[in-house]
Amino acid sequence: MRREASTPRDGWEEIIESQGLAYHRSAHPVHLSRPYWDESVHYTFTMQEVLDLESQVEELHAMCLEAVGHVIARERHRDFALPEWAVPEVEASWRRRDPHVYGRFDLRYDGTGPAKLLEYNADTPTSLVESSLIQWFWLKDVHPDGDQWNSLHERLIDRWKELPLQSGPAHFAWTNMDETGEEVMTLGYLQETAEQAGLRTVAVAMEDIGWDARGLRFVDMEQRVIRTLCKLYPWEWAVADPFGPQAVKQQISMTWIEPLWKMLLSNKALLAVLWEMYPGHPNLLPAYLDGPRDLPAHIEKPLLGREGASMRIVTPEGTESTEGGYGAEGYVYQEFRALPDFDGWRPVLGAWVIGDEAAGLGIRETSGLITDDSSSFVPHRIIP
Amino acid sequence: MANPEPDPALPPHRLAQGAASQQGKPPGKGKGWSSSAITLGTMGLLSTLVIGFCAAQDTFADRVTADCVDLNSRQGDGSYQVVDDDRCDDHYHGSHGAYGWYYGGARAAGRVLRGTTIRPANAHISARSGTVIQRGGFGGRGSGGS
Repeated sequence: MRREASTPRDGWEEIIESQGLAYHRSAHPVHLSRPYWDESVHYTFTMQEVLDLESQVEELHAMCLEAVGHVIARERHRDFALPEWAVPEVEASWRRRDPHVYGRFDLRYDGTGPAKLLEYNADTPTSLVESSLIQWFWLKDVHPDGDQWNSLHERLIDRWKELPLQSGPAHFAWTNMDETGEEVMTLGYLQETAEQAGLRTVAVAMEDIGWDARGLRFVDMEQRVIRTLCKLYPWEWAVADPFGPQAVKQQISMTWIEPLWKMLLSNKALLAVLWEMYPGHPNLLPAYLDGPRDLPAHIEKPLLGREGASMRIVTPEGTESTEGGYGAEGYVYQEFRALPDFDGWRPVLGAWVIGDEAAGLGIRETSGLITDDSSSFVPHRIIP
Repeated sequence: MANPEPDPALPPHRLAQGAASQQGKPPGKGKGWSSSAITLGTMGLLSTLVIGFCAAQDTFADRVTADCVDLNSRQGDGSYQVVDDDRCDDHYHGSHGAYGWYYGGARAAGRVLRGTTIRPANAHISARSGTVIQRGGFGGRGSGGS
């Protein structure tokens, strides 16, 4: 794994916007000098590194599925701060194996040792467009004969094809609150892959979803019944919304992507459960729910935080924390291992899982120790 | 903007045309690492839609009532016979084309008039009879990607 400088393509901004990255301006804090998409650098990996990472990702995913079963069998849902009333339906969703499409592991990796799991964005993962499309077209433009760890596009199409979906169109729901366009673009891309898989699709705003109190079903603006709903709206928000009880109750007759049981993966209590189940596993860092115990340095992560907010790093040298309003439902205490330093920048590997298989990589860099909304996405390629 | 779906009649995106020559190739088999060919049908179009996206949100949109009507029942005064909402449902198995939603009409004696069969843009629509469609039960929290 190396970090290399490269010359941006002429007109790169127009190119990436035409390919769907409209939010590279809008989603990025304006005071930053560095653009969100930065092709003046890229990472290179050897094929062996990619093969190793791929198998580690698939092992982590398999361990995570084991953890869901474990949490349900041992009734550990309180550690995840799930509302009690929703628990039976979360369990039922898992027992039915309600179908899932995708997720993104965030990994600490420096090319020398095993990747370490930082979190699993298993419910509402983003940076999909830049991972699947933008860096792929960059590769084809800049290194036409090069290779990349990226089969996201066709894996998504294949996944839609194999899903056991009910009749009627699949609805893709974004929220009107998304001011950056990131969500609508991500959902637009997912919708595109579903269309290419032969599905009939409809876009709808979460706010416009209607509840038919007589028919006990959700409907769209045209009064069509919603049987398949692909959302980028976190389950913990949906559960707490006025329609939450209906949404949870209807899972038996609807397909939500991602499914309800992913509440047990997109929650950082997972990190502590994994460490309990697989202590000393090379891809895990020690993590606890009851405090930092004997960790020499640790990071406190809110169970349901987003974008690196509300975190606190505690080391013998001092503490560092990020702003945010998360943490009401509790924290996990994970060993702190600083992100590796490449020319003063710290990459986090976002490793994608489609279905149950590793499917690609997206890298974000920050100057600080916590990857937040100031990070930049940089492409990668595989070198012979 | 109610719906970012592209117009299917539009020609393929120029990127899609570039990729078209690769379409005959089989996709990566088994454990392939990389995409063999990507066609982009709508992403560029979506991208331009996003620019105007926020401006077009309809927080203060009108509320419009809808009635399911028998479209063949139009009389001289322009009124339609109101029928059960189920007949306008997507999964009604009767003669589906004969029924449709009628928006913003005035009800009188089982008929409805002075409305339109064209769905108003930027309006929250609720059916009048029996079916109670509540909306707005999701959302209002910000963007949820992670």
